[in-house]
Amino acid sequence: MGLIIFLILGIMAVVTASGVVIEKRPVYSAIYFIVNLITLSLIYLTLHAEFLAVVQVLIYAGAVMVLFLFMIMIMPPVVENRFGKINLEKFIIIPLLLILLFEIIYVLYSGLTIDIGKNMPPLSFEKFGGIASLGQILFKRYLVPFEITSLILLVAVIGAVYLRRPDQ
Amino acid sequence: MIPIKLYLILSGVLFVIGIGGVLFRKNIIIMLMSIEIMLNAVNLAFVSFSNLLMLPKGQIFVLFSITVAAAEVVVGLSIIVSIFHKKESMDADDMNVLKG
Repeated sequence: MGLIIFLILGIMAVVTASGVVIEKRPVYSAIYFIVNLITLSLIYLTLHAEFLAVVQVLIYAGAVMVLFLFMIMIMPPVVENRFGKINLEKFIIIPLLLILLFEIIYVLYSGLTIDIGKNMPPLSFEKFGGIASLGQILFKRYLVPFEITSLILLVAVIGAVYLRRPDQ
Repeated sequence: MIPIKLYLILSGVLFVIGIGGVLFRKNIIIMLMSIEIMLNAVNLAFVSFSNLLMLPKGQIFVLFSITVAAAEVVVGLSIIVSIFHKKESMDADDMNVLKG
């Protein structure tokens, strides 16, 4: 049962990600990307990462994609020469991508030999990916990186304002 | 129980699709979206390893990675708007001069 759900979600994720790349019109591509993000959050749910699933929908599908759609809508429509002017590109890129995919799958099938539960005591599943357990770790052990994250956001805000300042 | 290798293979496939988007497309907004797809693929690998080892540290890392991705999108889109006002084009091939 879990396997069937995972297969459906995985096929949906791959199809929508390909849709982002293949689709000619940018708004459609953004909609494909939103569906891809929601599918990924469902996959996080099957991995018992409930808090991350919520964060994924809130931040990516909510904030980031609204920004993308806004940007697409204030830009005038562009005519894009989709696959480049030279056809030679395609013949170089596609074999390279296939080789990369083969390498990733080969490494994963031959190199992943970790035994589960040999060294570390497993946490209980109910407490694993919820807000309580993540908050405990985030605010105790990783407090300093968490504060530095706020600095990153501040830098992003200042940078965005500075880049769009009116010309002197 | 779903084998964790399936999740890792899905993450690899999504990463390769993202690379293809960056290499094939000429529209810079779509290129930025493909970079987001690659980031999401890596996040999926983090979460599946976190599930395999039963350690929540991987999920903490994904939280930081999502924050950095949001900041990156903000700065990237404002750079795109600046370039558009200067060049009147969204084509990555037109942006071949380093001078602002």
